Amino acid sequence: MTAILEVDDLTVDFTRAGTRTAAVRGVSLRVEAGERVGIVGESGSGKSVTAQAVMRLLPTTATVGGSVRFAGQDVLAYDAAKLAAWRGADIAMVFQDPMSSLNPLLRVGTQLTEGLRRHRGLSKSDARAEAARLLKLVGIADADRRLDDYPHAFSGGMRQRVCIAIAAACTPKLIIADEPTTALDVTVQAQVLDLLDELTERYATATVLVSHDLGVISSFCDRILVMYAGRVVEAGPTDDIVADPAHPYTRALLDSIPRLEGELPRRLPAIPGSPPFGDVPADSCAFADRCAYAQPVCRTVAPPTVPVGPRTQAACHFPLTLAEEVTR
Amino acid sequence: MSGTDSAGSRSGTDSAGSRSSSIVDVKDLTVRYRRRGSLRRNEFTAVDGVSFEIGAGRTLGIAGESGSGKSSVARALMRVHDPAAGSVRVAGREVTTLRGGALQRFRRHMQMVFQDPYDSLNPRLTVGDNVAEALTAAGVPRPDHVLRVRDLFDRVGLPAAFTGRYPHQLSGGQRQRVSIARALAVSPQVLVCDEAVSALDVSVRAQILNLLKDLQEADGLAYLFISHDMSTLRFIADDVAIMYQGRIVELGPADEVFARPRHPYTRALIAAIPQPGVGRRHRRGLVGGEAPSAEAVLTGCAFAPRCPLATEVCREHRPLLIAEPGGHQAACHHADAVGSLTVTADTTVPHQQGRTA
Ligand SMILES: Nc1ncnc2c1ncn2[C@@H]1O[C@H](COP(=O)(O)OP(=O)(O)O)[C@@H](O)[C@H]1O
Ligand code: SF4
Ligand code: SF4
Ligand SMILES: [Mg+2]
Repeated sequence: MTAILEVDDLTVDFTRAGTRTAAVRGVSLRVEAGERVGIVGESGSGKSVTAQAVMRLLPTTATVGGSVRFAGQDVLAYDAAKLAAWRGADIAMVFQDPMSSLNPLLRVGTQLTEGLRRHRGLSKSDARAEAARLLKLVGIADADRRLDDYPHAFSGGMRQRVCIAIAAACTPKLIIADEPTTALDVTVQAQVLDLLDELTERYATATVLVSHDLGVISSFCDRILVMYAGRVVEAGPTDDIVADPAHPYTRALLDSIPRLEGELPRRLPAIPGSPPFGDVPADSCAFADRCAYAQPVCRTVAPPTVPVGPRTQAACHFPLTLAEEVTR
Repeated sequence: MSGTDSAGSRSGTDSAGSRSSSIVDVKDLTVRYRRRGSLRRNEFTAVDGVSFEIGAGRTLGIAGESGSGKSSVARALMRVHDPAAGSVRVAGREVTTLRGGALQRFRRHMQMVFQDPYDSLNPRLTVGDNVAEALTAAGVPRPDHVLRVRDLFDRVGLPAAFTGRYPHQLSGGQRQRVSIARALAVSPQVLVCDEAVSALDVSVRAQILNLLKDLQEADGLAYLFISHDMSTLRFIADDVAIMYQGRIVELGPADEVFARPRHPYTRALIAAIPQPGVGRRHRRGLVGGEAPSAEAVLTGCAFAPRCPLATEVCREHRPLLIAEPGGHQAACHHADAVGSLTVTADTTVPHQQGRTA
C-alpha cells in the first residue's frame, strides 16, 4: 500500500530581521489512506507550521527543507496552477477559526458549490443539490434554505461544520485539521470529531488532526506523533503510547490532564517551566530543563530517535519503557 | 430594579443548607438584556432565577455550553451588569443595591480573572505597573508599591525580574499569573474565574490550577469557577452547578455530581470530554444539536429537543429544581433514569438526533 502523504525530514526556518529561527527540525511522518494521524504538543512546538508546510501555506519568510510527497508526487515542486488544483480536490485544511477560511461576503452555498463545480465539474443545479446534501451530512437542519445564508448567520459550531462540509465537498484523500475544535463547546467538539470519523468511514478520507490536547488526539487518532520544540519526540499507535508512554514529555502531558474517574491528586502533576522560545541548542535534549529524568548526557548529546516498543519510537536517552524493563 | 430583600424561593428549590457560613449567597438571580436593535421594552432573560451559595474557602464550579448564562451570572455578581431581580449577598451584605463609594469598596471583596488576560491587562504598561495600578485603587500608599508588587509576583510564581516586562513579552500562562496577581492586589475574599484556564495548553493549565488551589489554601479565598470543561471542574470545584438556557439544571457536591449525575445534560457534558486511554472512537455524540439561542422561548423542559430521555411530560411541563436529602439538586422529570444512560458504541445517539432527517 502506498502512503497518501509522506513527509521526510521536514525542516522549516523563519527569517525575521536577518535572524533565522528553526520552527521545525526534521519531522517525518507517513499517512495511509483512511488513517487518522494526530500531532500533539504545546503551542509553539511546530505543529501548525508542519501542517502549513505540507499544504504549502507558509509565508515567503519561511525556508522549507526535506521532502513532502502526496500520492508519490513531490509537493514542494508544484507550481501555482498545480497547487490550486491539488488544494480542494485532493487535500483540504480546516482551521481553528472557521472565519479565517470562510468568505464573509459570500453565501455559504456559493462557497460550497464553487469547489464542486471547479473540481468535480458539476452543473450549477447538480452542485447545489450536492451542497445541500453535504450540509445535511454535517448536521445542519433545513440545509436547502441555509445555503442562501451568509457565514455570520451561523453559530461558531455551525460555521466549523460548514468548513468541514467545504473541505469534504470534493471528497479529498486527506483533510488536515489544525485545532478544529479548540474554540468550540465540548458537546460540539464531540459532534465535529464524529463528523470527521464519518468522512473516514464513508470515503476513506485520511485525517491529520493537530491539537495541544492529548485527550482529543487520543480519542480520535489511530496513530500519534508527539512534537516538542520542532521535533517528533515520540510516535506510534495511540493505544501503545497512551498505555505506555516512553518519552518523559509524553508521560508528563498525559499526567497533566485532570481525570474524570478515579482518585484525584491534591495537585495536578504539571510540567514545570514553559517550552523553549525560539532556538534550542543543537547538542542537547530540548526538554532537559523541564525533565524529571534528565542526566548530564541530556545536556551534551541530542537524543536520537530509537525504537522503544514493538511499534513505537522515541527520542530520549532514557526511555521510560526500557527503564521499566530493566527494573522488572 | 432589584428587590432589597429576597422574598423567599418561589421555585420550591430552597435547600436545607445554612446561609450563615456562606461568603456568597445568591437567591433568584435574574439577568435580562435588551434585544439587539430594539428600543422599547423588549428584553430576553439570560439568567432566570438562579440560586446558589459559596462557602468561605470553597469553590463552586459552573459548567454549561456557551450562551447558557455562566458569564452573565459572573457579571451580575460583579455588578458589571445590574441584575433585573434577585439578591446577591457577599459577606452578609446585599450588593445589588450598592452605589457610588459603597460599590467601589465592595469591589475589593470580589475580583475577576478572565479567559484572555489581554483583555484585562493594559498593553502599554509593564506588568508590574499593571499590578501597581490595582494597588493604587486599593489605596495602598505609593512607597509600598515596589515591595507589594514583588510580593504578589512571588505569590503567583513569577520572578521579580518580570515586573519590567510588557504583557506581549510573556506567554499565555505567565500573563494569566499576572492577572491573578492583579486580582489579589486588593486582598479579595472571592475570586470569579471566567474560563480562566480554557485558552491555556493542558500543561500550563495544570500549573495555574495548582496555583489557584495553593492560594485558596493559604488565604481561604472562595472561587466562582466557570468552565465548560468538566474534567477541570472535577479537579478544582467542591460543588458544581450545571447551567442550561439561563437556569441551573443540576447542583450538588462535585463528587456526587460526577459519580451520579441526575440530569441528562450533565451526563452528556461529562461524556463529551475526551479522555486518554478510555478507548477511542464512536462513543462521543451522546447529545446532538446545539443549545438553542438564549432568546428562544420554549415550553416544557428546555433540553427536551436534544434529550435522549425526553417524553411527553417533558415537553409540556418544565421540571423544577428538586433537592434530594443530601442536597443534590436536579431539574429533570426522569432524573432517576439518568444513571441508565450508557455510552457505548451501540447506544451512540447520532448527531442529527432530534432533527428532521
Ligand atoms: N509566520 C511566522 N513567522 C515567524 N515565526 C513563526 C511563524 N509562524 C510560526 N512561527 C514560529 O514557529 C514556531 C512553531 O509554531 P507553530 O507551528 O505555530 O506551533 P504550534 O502549532 O505547535 O503551536 C513558534 O516559535 C512560532 O513562533
Ligand atoms: S533525553 Fe534526557 S532530558 Fe531529554 S527527555 Fe530523555 S531523559 Fe529527559
Ligand atoms: S425533563 Fe425530560 S427532556 Fe428534560 S432533561 Fe429530563 S428527561 Fe430530558
Ligand atoms: Mg498551532
